[in-house]
Amino acid sequence: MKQSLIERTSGRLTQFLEPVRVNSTKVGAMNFRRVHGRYLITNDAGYFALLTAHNFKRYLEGRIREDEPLYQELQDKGFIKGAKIDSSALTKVFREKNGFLWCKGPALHMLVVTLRCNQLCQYCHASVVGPSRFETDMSLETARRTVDFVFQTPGQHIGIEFQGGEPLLNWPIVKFVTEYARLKNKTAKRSLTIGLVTNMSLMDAEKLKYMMDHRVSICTSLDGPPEVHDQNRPFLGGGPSQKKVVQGIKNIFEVCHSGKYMRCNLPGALLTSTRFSFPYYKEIVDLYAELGLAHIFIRPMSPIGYAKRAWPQIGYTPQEFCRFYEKTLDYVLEMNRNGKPLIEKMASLLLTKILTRRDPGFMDMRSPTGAVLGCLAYNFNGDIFTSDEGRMLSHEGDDSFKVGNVYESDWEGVLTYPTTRICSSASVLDSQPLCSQCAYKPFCGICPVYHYETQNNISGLMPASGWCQTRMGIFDVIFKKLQDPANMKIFNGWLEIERRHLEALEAVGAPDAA
Amino acid sequence: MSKTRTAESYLSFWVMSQASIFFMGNHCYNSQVFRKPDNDFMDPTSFKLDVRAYGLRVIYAAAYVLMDRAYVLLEGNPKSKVTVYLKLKSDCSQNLKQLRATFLSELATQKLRWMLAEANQPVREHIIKEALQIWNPKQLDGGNEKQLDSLSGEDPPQDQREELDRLLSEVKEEWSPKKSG
Repeated sequence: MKQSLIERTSGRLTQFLEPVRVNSTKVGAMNFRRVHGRYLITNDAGYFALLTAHNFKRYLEGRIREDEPLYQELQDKGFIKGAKIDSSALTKVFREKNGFLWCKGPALHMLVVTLRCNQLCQYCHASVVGPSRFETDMSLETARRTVDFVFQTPGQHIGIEFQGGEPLLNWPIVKFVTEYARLKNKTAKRSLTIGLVTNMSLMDAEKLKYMMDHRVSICTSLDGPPEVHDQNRPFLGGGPSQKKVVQGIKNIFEVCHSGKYMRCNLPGALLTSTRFSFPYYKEIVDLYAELGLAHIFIRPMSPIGYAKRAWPQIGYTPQEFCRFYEKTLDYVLEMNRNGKPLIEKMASLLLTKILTRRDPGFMDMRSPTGAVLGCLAYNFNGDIFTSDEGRMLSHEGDDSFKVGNVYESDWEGVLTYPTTRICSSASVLDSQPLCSQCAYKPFCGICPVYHYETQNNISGLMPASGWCQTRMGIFDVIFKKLQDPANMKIFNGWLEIERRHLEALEAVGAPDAA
Repeated sequence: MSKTRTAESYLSFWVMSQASIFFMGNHCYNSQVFRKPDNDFMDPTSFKLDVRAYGLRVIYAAAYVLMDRAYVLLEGNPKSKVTVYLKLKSDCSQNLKQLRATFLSELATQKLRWMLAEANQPVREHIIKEALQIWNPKQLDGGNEKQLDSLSGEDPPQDQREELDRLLSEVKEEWSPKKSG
């Protein structure tokens, strides 16, 4: 039997090179893809199986015998059609894996409390303004109305995240929102978490204590060693910033380890990968591990807003990013094998979708997208956007993704706003010609803002989409690594840590949390 | 409009990158798509397809997948035979011969994908319908309907008013000098 049943991917869909007889009375609903010498099949419920070429051909031809263990596995997962297919079980798994579809309101509320910033990052999406531009600070009244709006949304979990600009430049409003939200929650009794995304440069002992006392988690940007970070993120007017970030992270750890505060106050850091990052992948990982950070998040950058203009200098092709991603993930895995625990966040988010029945709340990777249904972004002036990317476009003069304003809108108006509906319908993968046939459909998602910005098409044209190429490349890497039992052991360990972390976060967010 | 009517008997149409998404479920009855192939498409690498053997949507789907590499122009009768013309995009690494082979392989694969999709459509629809039908707001989100009905978008109750007033005055004090300065 020829093993070269499928030899190549075309337009990133796997293609047959020779005629295949398919027994459509036995083969259940599935999409397929060749990954690292095996054949991945997936279905709507999010089940997957990795088959050898031989077994894949037998599966398609309906020649797997009922007494084979493989038959039972495929039947249990809904890949084999027939009277024994348990649609109720598949329905249950579908509901669990797509739990976000049944959430009643957005869980993530990003508040841009100022556009001012004291850094001039090469890729800054937010297209910030200088520290003297006070008119771009969120006012007290706008902050109050924003919190009121946030509590109008009906989701049980509310996560407020301060963004900017540099949010600490509008410190009084950060404090007000924190305390006002906590106050409102005494009545609302939601699960409330509050987070701050900061460049650390203005973090002092007083602010840090406030954050800890008020259970505000802190996340910063750390692009790696000074060679990379200082090139990506210089201070306005020049000067290195990496040392401040590293010291800030150390300070938070010190406070957390004093025992007074819960472990969920531990700091997080976000890595933005530019092409300058590529040669330093080991140094970047080493730094994250050395600082004791739990996660490193290898994210692709999007050519949106300011980054679009800077793309020729800092950008890369999807293939270049995926090579960087695989090398970095390999190094992280090697580190784990050597007893140093560090979780690569992109992998852990996708593995949660692939290997568990939980939804990790990854707004970009869901169908439909998390825009409005999962998250909202609030600009300093009270304008409400589908997402932070949508808000960034506004700063470039394009309000296409604005869905309201806290002075004028109510939740129902935002939810039923035409842009909200368009973003939702445009990002349903089953209505996408290529996505609907993709083996990664149960785990993937698309961003309307990305495709609007790069293809002038809110639905996106996937065969030519950098978004699609990058996500497919990342999934290819993940499913390749999954085939190694040693990696699986590490991945399962990561998922267990993530589960416990989630439980701890839920405890912090609980209305009666101390 | 006349071209639209003509199309019912003998159709000229094309599937090109920016428009092809709309071809998946619809015939393209507009003047823009109803045009004869221009000279750019008159390449020896053209070939005929029996629409009855594949179905029009399978042909569209195969063309769509080539969007990143080529323009695909289809000419002929959508109920019987069409001629496929390929035109390479500038950054395509394949030559026309390779592209033709790719298109034909994709055609065969798309036929299989669509066959499986059709054969399994009732089961898939049943599962999704079932998932949606058992939607029950009271069990969702860990939420208590009564609590959430109040939605808390309004001001806090009286007993928290004083705390809010204190908070507002504190922030105003801290915030105002900076703004005026």
